[in-house]
Amino acid sequence: MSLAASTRTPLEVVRATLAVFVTLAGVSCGLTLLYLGMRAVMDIGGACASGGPFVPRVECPEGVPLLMIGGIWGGIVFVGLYLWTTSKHRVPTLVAFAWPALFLSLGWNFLDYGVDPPVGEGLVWGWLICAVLFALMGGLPLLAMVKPVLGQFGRRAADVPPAQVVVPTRSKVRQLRAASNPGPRGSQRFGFDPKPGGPSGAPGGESLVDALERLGALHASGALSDDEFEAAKQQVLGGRG
Amino acid sequence: MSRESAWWLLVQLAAIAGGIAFGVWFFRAVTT
Repeated sequence: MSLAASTRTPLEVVRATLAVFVTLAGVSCGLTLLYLGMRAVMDIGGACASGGPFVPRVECPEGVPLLMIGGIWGGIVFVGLYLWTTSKHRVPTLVAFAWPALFLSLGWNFLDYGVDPPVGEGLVWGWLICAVLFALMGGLPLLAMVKPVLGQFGRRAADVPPAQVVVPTRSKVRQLRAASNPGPRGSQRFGFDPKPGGPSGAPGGESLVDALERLGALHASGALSDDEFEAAKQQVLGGRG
Repeated sequence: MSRESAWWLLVQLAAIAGGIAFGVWFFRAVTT
């Protein structure tokens, strides 16, 4: 497959693909183990114990405690690895969905078993309350994150909005001059004149560069907004052209 | 969506599906 937009070598693509696949599959596997382990425990009433010096009233299904602990810790470790991998290889990441996936999947278990409990009859309100809480804890972040996360996959150069070109007003340019240099030779030092086609204080290519550098510095320092910077730059370049 | 973005989305969806499938298989293998 040709990944034309990428500057990666084919080997880098293969490495990144493998790393992203394995780490995300690890996250997904951890969540699945936790989800299934929870269901196995809820099948026998929602609580169990195994090991220790006491005789538990309800013994846990074989292997389930270990799988759940492994799912939790393995999931956490793989989330970290996945985040690191996607950051390192500059790959759009779905890591923000891990939290909603955890809470919504476990919340579904609470809802499923709360409505139709395997032990006893009727609704289990304790589990239904947990279902609502888990749905809120998972659902609200999901709503907030779905657009920015999926937006990562839609980005490309053509989607970047073009820089806005704003016609500078006389007062804005005057403010600009006063802010950059209050002295009488302000426009000369600034390298441009606010009037298009007007006299320029500092002719020559070097002063144009100076003016642009000065504008860039003002922009970088925050003294000029993006719009003001664009306007002033257009003014400088227009005056020279 | 660019081809590269589509590729990463596909890889990650496949990873999620693969992780779920492996998790289900592993859980059943251990508990039964």
